[in-house]
Amino acid sequence: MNNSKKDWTDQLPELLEGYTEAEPEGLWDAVRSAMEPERRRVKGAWWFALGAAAAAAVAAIIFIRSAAPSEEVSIASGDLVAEVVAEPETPIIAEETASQEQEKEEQPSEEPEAPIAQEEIVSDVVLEETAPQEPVLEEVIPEKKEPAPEEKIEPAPEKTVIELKKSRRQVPRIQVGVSRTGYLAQAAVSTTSGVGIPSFAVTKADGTTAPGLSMLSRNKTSTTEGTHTQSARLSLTLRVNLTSRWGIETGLVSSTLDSRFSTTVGNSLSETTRSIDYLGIPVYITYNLLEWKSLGLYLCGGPMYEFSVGTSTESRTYIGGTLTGSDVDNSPINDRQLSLNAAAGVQLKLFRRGALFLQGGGSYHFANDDSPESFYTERPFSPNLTVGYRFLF
Amino acid sequence: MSERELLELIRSGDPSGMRMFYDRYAGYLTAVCSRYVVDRSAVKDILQEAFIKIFKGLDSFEYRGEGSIKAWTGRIVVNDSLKYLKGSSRIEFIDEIPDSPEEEEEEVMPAIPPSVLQEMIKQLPDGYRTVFNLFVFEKKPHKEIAVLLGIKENSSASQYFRARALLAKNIKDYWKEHEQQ
Repeated sequence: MNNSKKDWTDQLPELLEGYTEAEPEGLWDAVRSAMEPERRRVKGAWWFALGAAAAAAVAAIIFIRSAAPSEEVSIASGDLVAEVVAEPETPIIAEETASQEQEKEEQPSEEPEAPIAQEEIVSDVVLEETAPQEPVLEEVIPEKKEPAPEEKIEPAPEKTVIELKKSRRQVPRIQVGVSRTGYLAQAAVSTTSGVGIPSFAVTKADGTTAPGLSMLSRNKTSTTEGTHTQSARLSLTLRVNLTSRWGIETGLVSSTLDSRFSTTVGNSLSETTRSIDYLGIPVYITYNLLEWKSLGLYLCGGPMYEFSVGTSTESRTYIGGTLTGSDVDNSPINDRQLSLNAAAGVQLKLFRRGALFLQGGGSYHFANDDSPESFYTERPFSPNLTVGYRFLF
Repeated sequence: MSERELLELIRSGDPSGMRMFYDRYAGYLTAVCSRYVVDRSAVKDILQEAFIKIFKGLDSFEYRGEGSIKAWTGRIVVNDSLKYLKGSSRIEFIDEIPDSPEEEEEEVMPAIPPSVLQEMIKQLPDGYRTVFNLFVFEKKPHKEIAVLLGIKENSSASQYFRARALLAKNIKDYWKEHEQQ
């Protein structure tokens, strides 16, 4: 096949170079009268979603706190815990009973005091005429009864138990976290270059090779380099500890994929930078490995579903090194991504209701035939490091 | 009047300059836009916005010789057409394979009126037509087309192949029909 022959499609631009069509009716009037400013695009649906998720998380926390069960107090020290299991009600009641009895016993001493006062007054008046009265105190104040031995309250040994048990960790039931994830993988780079139609264009979608295409060539050398990165990911999560070890976590995750494409054809250069914003909903299972004083170790993992919420594409064209055109396009690219994530973390409780955490893990994004080329498609697996703060409830 | 003279006329504030500019390029830009967008009312909206951008950008446009203004305005219309197609999700990338058996393609295209060729391109399915236009008329590689349309590079290539095959078939059919006549 002679690749120097001109492709018939190369004749089309020349054929239609001077072709014109009648412009739509009223176009000039519309252009002349309507030099209106560009409409603002209200971006931020995803910010609204974040705010709604935060409000829902706060409402859930308030609701759960209002119905929070009583907490078990435990002193944890490694695997062995000295736990005071008390039945406070029994001794308290007993004490109250004793005190009540004391009050009852003391009460009679109060009543005679009134008449004592009166008698004293009377006696003051009739001192000269009557014989001195017997000391009232002896009559009024009865002997103090000592409680019977059987009534004496002694803490029953069997009611106060000090037991050695396995650790019962103090795990907050609800944790709301805010975090930032940085990616440890380098930018993914893809390069396509060659003369003529790239090889992938020769193979048809059904897998067979298209006859006739191999004889055609555009006789042009083009090189396109793509560089893909992922910006830091921001997360707002809600973790609910179902037991002292197991829990579930969900929330909202925001991330941005940046791609830069550079195509060189002869002395012309075309640069395109594209940003795709994603909003993700993770559903993780968490497992608390260890809780020691203020330190905790945990594992978490599960799937996350992400969907694109905004796209921005900026294109620039250079000819001979001089910028000849630029364009910004915010048309959306609909993309869905499913990934599997796993991480191990350490959490340090700084305050009664707050803890810092550091988490290292990785993500794997499953291939999606409809997805545009991006960091997810060029580097499906990427390690990451997350740092954040959790509010404990 | 050359493009440079026309440009200077507009920049001088002459009210007739804009109308002259419009009369000179409206037909060409309508043809470019119609090759991407079939809906006539949408073509009017796109061209309206494009002309506003063009007139606003003429002050800062750097003239690079005869034909540079035409190329620049054409790019603006193409970009706005793509925005319209992508924004309204009107681009459907179908996977239908032409019913006709594989044939050797002609290296030289038979004589065919531009208006007929334009109409044949318009009749291509949306995905085929968009990729074909970008590859053939804008001379963009498939990787860049994939970035612009948010599709995979292989998808761009397969769409172009199918568009090309379908268009070649239609051209051959037209030629055979008119040859007999």
